[in-house]
Amino acid sequence: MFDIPDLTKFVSERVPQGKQQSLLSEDTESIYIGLLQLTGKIIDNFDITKCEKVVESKRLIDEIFVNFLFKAVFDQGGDENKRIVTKVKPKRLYGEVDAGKAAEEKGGLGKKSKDAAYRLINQLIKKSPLLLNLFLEKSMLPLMKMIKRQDGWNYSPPGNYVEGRQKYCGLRNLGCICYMNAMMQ
Amino acid sequence: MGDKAVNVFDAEILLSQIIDKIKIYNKASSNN
Repeated sequence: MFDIPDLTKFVSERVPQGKQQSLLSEDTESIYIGLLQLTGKIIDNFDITKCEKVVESKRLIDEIFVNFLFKAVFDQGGDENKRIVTKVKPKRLYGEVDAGKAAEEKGGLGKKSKDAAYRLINQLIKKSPLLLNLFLEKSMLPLMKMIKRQDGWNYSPPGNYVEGRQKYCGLRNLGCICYMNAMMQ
Repeated sequence: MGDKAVNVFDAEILLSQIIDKIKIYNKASSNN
């Protein structure tokens, strides 16, 4: 069980409040994960209706989702030309993992923080239908609007297919989705 | 009952403070 007054004192006094730039140190990742996990524990142990009010008024889910997990996507959102296209490039996916690792090494928020953030969001929306609604409306919907839909099917060969000339035809493999293409075809 | 009410109230304050810290870290991380 928590010793709430002690914990409150600890969080307000020990977690650094100084200049934002100086916050990032070797411990950044573990402190951030600790804060996320502590939030999860509080949600688990206390009255959810009271907790959801705080989470709602402080826009916690929105904050984690928009300003951390999908920050890069939302930053590009304002520029129509840079909208995300749903074309998956395997190299890019691996690059993202590497970026996470690099961020961890220099004391930033990396893959482990993202895992903890996803876990907390999952916990919050499972526990409260109100928070689930908020998540879908304020975070998920804006994200979905930013993803540009594919105009047509990406298949091979394109258009002028003459039977017999080409050995194979069908959907292009965008990378790691051949099993899905096979099912759809 | 009274104790529980105090606890819940404190938990709200704690939760609120933690969320503020999370926001600070998010901001610091994005500035970096």
